Amino acid sequence: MSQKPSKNGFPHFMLKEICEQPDAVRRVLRDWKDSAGHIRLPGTPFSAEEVKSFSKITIAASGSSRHAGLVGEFMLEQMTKLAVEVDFASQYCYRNPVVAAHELTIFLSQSGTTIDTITALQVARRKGVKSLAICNVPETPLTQNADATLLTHAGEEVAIAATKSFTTQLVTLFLLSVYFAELRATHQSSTDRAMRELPHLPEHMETALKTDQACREFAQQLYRHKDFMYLGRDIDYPIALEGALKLKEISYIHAEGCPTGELKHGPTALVSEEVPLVVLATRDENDESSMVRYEKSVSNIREFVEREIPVLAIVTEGDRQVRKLTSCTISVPSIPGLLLPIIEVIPLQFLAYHIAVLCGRDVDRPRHLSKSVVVE
Amino acid sequence: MTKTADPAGGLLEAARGQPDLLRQIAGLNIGIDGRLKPVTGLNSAKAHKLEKLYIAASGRNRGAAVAGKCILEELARLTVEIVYLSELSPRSEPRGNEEAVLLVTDLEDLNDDAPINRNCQPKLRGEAGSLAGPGFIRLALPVGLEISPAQSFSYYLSALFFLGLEMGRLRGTLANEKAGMWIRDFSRLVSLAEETLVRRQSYEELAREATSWHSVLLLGRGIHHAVAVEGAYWLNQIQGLHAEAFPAGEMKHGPNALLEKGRPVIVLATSDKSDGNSQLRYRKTMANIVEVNARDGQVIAIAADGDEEIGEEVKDVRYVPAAPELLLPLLEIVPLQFLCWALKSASPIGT
Repeated sequence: MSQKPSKNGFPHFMLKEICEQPDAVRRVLRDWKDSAGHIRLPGTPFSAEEVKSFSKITIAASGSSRHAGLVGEFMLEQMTKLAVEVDFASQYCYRNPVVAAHELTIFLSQSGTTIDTITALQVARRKGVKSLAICNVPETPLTQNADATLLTHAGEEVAIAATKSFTTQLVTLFLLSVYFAELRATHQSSTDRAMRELPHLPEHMETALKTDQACREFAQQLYRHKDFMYLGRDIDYPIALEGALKLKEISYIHAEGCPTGELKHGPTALVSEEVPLVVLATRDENDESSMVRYEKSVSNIREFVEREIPVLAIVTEGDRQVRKLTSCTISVPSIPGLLLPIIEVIPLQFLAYHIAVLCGRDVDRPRHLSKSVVVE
Repeated sequence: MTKTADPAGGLLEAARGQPDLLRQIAGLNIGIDGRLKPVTGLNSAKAHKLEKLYIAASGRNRGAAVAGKCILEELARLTVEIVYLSELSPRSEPRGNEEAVLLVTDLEDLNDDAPINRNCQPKLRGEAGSLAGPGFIRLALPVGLEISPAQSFSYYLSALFFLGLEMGRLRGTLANEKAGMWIRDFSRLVSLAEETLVRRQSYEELAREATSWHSVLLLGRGIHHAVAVEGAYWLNQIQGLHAEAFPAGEMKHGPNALLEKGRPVIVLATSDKSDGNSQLRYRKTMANIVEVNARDGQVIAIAADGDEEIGEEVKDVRYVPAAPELLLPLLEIVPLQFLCWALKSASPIGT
């Protein structure tokens, strides 16, 4: 019999689950290491020949899992050189997706019971596509019907808003990318830094957990706003989407994610003193393209600040340029860009949590949502 | 592209000019023999080799890009991924002859922020105006056709539709008879768009309640998501609303939390009764509507003529003539254009 979940002294399950993330990631890393300490796929889902034969990867998911898939798209493309596409599970399953037998479709779902994702899996099976389920819960319709399964080991997640199930999905997708890259011999030295840093990821996440207090103070300043925009570039854009979704889900504030460079082409009328901008402006100093994006984000932030638009920036430790522009910054450890999403989402989880608490919401059980969506 | 100083006026002109625009586009793409005019630079070998197409678009061209994905997948069985123009990076550079990037943009959009990868830039500029792919392809405006920003959705969507027909023909995924049917269906749209103009008043009435809106969600499944994206763009531009579009099936995965008494939700719920997949998606969309109603949200639905069911569930339904699924967006957009225009005219001066 399973134990009744306990909050372990935390006021909400969500806060407890945010704080459990370093340990959850430790479990994932352990599961992927063989006795010699090498990365290997847990179980033997696909043969080396199969992995070499894949010509394309599609990722089908909904909600937070789709955001994890969007980060995974960057990881898989960069490391395996395969074309990767991410789709809404609910769109994939009713539009005759263009997929063929030598392709892989990855289905991401915390619960393994998400109806849209299960329906998408049925479509994939009819088309003869290889299928891989990435789930937190074992023995579910998704894991039972997919060709292969990877478990994310987040442990039971009680709060409806996904936190540790999201970051463990990201780590799983990173490890999968590394493994595929080795088999396909597309391994690149640029990912070596991320590989070397991986064992220390749980410690960096623990450092990121220390942003709790700062996030609470910013929440106090911001919680009365009716609208928010979250901005990020490249691999950080899905984290902007995820940060916005967290706030929307538990505080009922209309928050929207947008690529930083798209803001002036898209919802321009939303840029005002009334709408705080949460900007992901982290950087990887060893990656030239990351620095180019960072410089662009700095100049965006300068412009926002000059127009007196409230900005909260997530930056990398040691950042000076953004700090010169605004005192509203939260810093996360400096780690390789491919791993940054896994730690920069943590302050966004805290921010959503504290705003929701200040708004008086039922944080663990927000209205109109369920932990797993079993009806369409 | 002509610039309109008054975007609301531009939308009114776009709605009223829809039949004329569709007539012009038909003339540009369909020969007097009723067959497709060939697309310059595209041949059978190139079309066959192509495995993946990126459609890069920003701002007001995102809606057409979303529709383009559905169209090209269905007609040409081509893998399509939509990317933000401002997010173009080395990862979206075409790999060999198997991939191409289709730019849906007006020239000026290519400045400053896009693309991030400087190496892309000369290629983008060099290829501008040609459809010589694989490589970078631009969906160019034909000489002599002037369209306003508010018309770019319908223009680019139509251009992608004709590209899809030609690609489908060349790749062997679309039989000649089927292509012929699509061509005739497109030609018929002109009179259907004229019919929407007769209903202008019923569309503008939607603005009465909308003047009190602060934020609004727009939902559509399949290709109708494209109309939601386009509608959200203009509701934001014209009225400053926080308007966000979702595929209808995504609501349960988070956005549902926003639903409360009176929260406006615009649902693009047209369907083609002769198309089984369209009907399947319609049934799912109806389930989403029931859900919004159960949460006291205020649903406004756009439906197709002959839909007897939706009126029982939704008080505010506006109808457009029935048409084949892939072409419905060209009609569905008209009520939203009139709504935006009326919303602007109804609001106090200075807002």
